[in-house]
Formats: sequence, structure tokens, C-alpha cells
Amino acid sequence: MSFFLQAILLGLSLSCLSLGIFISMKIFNIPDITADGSYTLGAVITGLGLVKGWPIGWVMGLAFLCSALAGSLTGFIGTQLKVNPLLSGILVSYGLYSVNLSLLGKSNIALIQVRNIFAIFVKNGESTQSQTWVLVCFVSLVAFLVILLLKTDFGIAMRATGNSETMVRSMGVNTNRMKIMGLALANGLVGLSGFLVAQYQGYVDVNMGIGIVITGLGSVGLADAFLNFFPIPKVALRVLGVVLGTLIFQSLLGVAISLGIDPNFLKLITAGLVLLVVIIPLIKFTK
Amino acid sequence: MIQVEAVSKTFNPGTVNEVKALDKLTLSIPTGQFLVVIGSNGSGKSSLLNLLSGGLKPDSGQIFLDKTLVSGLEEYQRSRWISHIFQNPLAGTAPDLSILDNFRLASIRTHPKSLFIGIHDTFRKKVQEKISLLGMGLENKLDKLMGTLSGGQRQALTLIMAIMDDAKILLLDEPTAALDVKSARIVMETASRIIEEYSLSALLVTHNLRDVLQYGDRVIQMGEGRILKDILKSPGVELDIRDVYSWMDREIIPDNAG
Repeated sequence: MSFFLQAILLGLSLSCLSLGIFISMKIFNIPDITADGSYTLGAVITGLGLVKGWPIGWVMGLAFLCSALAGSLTGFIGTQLKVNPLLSGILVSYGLYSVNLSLLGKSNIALIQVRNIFAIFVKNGESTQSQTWVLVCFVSLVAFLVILLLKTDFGIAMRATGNSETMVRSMGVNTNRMKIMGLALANGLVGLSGFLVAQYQGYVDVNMGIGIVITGLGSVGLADAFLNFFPIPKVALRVLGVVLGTLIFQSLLGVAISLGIDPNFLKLITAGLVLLVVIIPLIKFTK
Repeated sequence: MIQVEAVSKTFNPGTVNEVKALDKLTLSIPTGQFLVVIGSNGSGKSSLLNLLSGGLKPDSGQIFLDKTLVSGLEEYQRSRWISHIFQNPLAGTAPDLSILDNFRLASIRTHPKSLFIGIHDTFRKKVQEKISLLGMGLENKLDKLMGTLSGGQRQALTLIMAIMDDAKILLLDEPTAALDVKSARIVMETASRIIEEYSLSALLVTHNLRDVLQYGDRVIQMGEGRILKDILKSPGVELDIRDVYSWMDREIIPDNAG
């Protein structure tokens, strides 16, 4: 069962990524793929901070802020320079590769013998038990804050921006500014996943973010399929659905690997899985 | 109070597709006046409305709302004064949000969207009260998604949303064009009632003869970006249906018109 537990732990670490993708793609309806770069950026900053021995709270804040800055850059390019949002994200994540590489100084670093977030409650942060507790608490807190935010007046304006721009402008919302802030928040959350995964895996690699947006999409897609069973999906349910979707998605990948499938095919399996997740609800509707 | 001073707007200037939408148009709508704008397609009605709402910016001339110069302000900034009812009933509401969420946003139209949770029991009761005025039975469906309602229901709710927060000016852009007769009547009666009750300055663009005769204090006919006729309705003086027909560029006058 250890592969299953590992999948759940990785799923928890990636839940923030899925929440970020949920905000950009589902709430704002923007096909933002900055995540490929901002996820790595969060991990790179975490790696550097931990090696230098900075306090973990600072490292986390910095990872969030820098990734959020990357998201707001995508938002700025898309709304102020009127560049296609998909291209804006591609450009920023492409450019971030160089930023990440130059920050890291080499293509990867190991995070061995550094004090990480898993040692926050206990001295030995390597035990699975402490990792589980820290991740459960962390993700619960983030999910709770996201739910709370989406219920505020600002959150309603956020949700309406992706839903009906004409309406929300006539309600006094600066939609361009809202999109920039939304993408900042989304990528900040993605950066938090970089922060967690770097510590969970114990290393940072500049290539770790390539295609990560697909993982997030698959998880959000699973959440959608699951929410089809509810007539009125409330905000809290949608957010929790995304976390659950991430856990299930990682478990499915875990099952694939445990069946002895060559890890080289992991990306192909992921792509196939995402395709399945995306078309299953469609099949249901056309019946 | 709406003041439009010598406003001009030309689309695609300098090209073969050049269209002069408004030509040095000057118009003043006092507070509390309900103005009905008629004219054929391309006469500049919609351009006038969009210039007021901020969807379009004038090439020259100035627009004042309550004596504030707003020509340079964006649409979202002008929402401080303006409630806009769109021709498409789906445009004025957010379909994937609940009725209550839509109303929350409408109730903070002129306020900053802060990190405050504003949906509580008192707010719910207030919304229920306002919606019950419509008599459509929607007051008990506040948690339903807006997108599950019909166009007529959504358009009627948009009108109630318009008065949730300090309404001053109501722009109605052919609000009943996409609705069936019964929904259209409810929407127009609601509009007329809230305009009177809240002393709103209102501007209705319509192609509906019945609305021209029944609603408003003043009728203007537009053509080629200018005001061709400006008639103040006064008590006891009925508009001649034949005149209105000819202003609206209709050719056939049915016997039982109106």
C-alpha cells in the first residue's frame, strides 16, 4: 500500500496547483499555462531558501509572492498589451525557464539534511506520519482560505468576471485588474505546490514543471466529473472537489506505476487519463 | 441629470466603411425624466446609449452625469451612476452564480468589492422582499443558479438588481426585444414602476410602438446621428399613433394598431 500512500502525499502536495488551475481556468475562464514556470519557480525559491537556512515561513511567503508575480505578469501581458491569454502564459513560462535556471545555478539541487516544513511539528521530518499530518493541515488551511475568499464580495466579483464580463463591468468591477489579481492568486497557489513538492521529493529540478499544468487540468477535470452528480455545486464543494480530484488523479497514476508500467510512459498515461477525464462528462451529456 | 454636449462618433473613419453614428448631438435629460428613443437601425440610438454607458468613447464633445464630466471614464467607473439593462437578457447577469450572488454584486455596485462576506440572513431577507415585488415567485429560489432561469425572469431580476445600490440613471437597451409578450409586459411595467418610485433618469431605446405610446415623459426620434424630433409628452395630450408610426419608419399601418 505504500505506493498508494505516496500517491496521496504527492496528491496533497499538488492540491494547491490544482486549486490554482481551478481559479485560472474555471473561475476566470483563462487558459493560463504559466503554471509550468511558476510551479518550478516556487520550488526553486524553496530550494535556495532552505539551503541558505531561511525561516520556513519566509521561504513559503517568498515562493508564493514570486509565483504570484509571474501570474500577474501573464495577466498584464494579456489584459494591458492585449496579447492572446494562451500566448501570454506560454511566453511567461518559457521565459521563467531561464530565470529558474539562473536562480538555481545548475539544473538541479538536492535538499538533503536541510530543515524543511515536515519538521515543523517533530524533529524527524522524514517520517511518513509527520509528512502526512503537515500536508493534511497545510492543504486544509489553503482550501479553507480559498473557500472563504470565494465567498467574500471580492470573491463573488472574481467568479462573475470569468462568467459574464459585460455584467461585471456594469457592476463597477475593473475586469482587467481583476484578471491580473486572479492570475496572481492562481499562480501563487501553484508556487505553493512547488514549495511543497520540492520538500516532499527532496530535490529541485528546473525541468520539474514541464507539463505540470496537465496534471492540474486532469485533477480539475475529475472534480468536474464528480460535481456532475450535484444539482447546485456550492463553492465549498467545488473547492473540496478539486482537492479530492487531485488525490484520485495521483492515485490512478500510482496504480499505473504499481502495475509495472514503464515510468517513461508516465506522461503518455497522464495525457490519456486527462483526455478520458475531459470526455467522460461529455459522453454523459450527449446521451 | 444627463448632459450630452456636441458629441460626435464616427466608426472606421477614413475607410470605405466609415459610418457617422453621432453628429454633434446635444441632449439634456433632467433628473427623473423617462426618455424614449426611437429611430431606424443605424440612426445612432445604440451608439448614444453606449456612449453614455462608457462602452464607446466619443471622438469629440462631452458627457456629464450629475454635472461630473465622464467622457474619459471607463464603463466600470460610470457604473457609479448608471444601471444598464442590456438587450440580451443573458448579458446582465452571471449565469453560473446563484441569484443571491448576483444580487450581492448588484448591491455593492457603487462600492469597493472588499474581503467582506456580505451574504447573511438580513441580506437574504432584503433580497427576498425586493424580488417578491415582481410576483414571479422567484423569492424562494435565491440559491438557484441564474442560468437556470428564463430570459424573461432574468431580465426582470436585472431591473431589481439595478435598484439594489443607489440607482440614479437607468439605461434600457431594447430590454424586451428578446422576450415573449407576457414577460415583456412584466419587464416594462417593473421598469416604469422603479423609474417613478426611485425618481430615476431613464433612457429607453425601443422599436416597440406600444412602449412608445405607453411609457416615458418624452420621446426623441433619431436619424443619421442627429435628433430629428423631440416631443415632451404632457398630460391630456395623446401622441398620434400615425405620427409615431411614421417616425419609426414603418410603412404599413394596421387597422388595429396599438
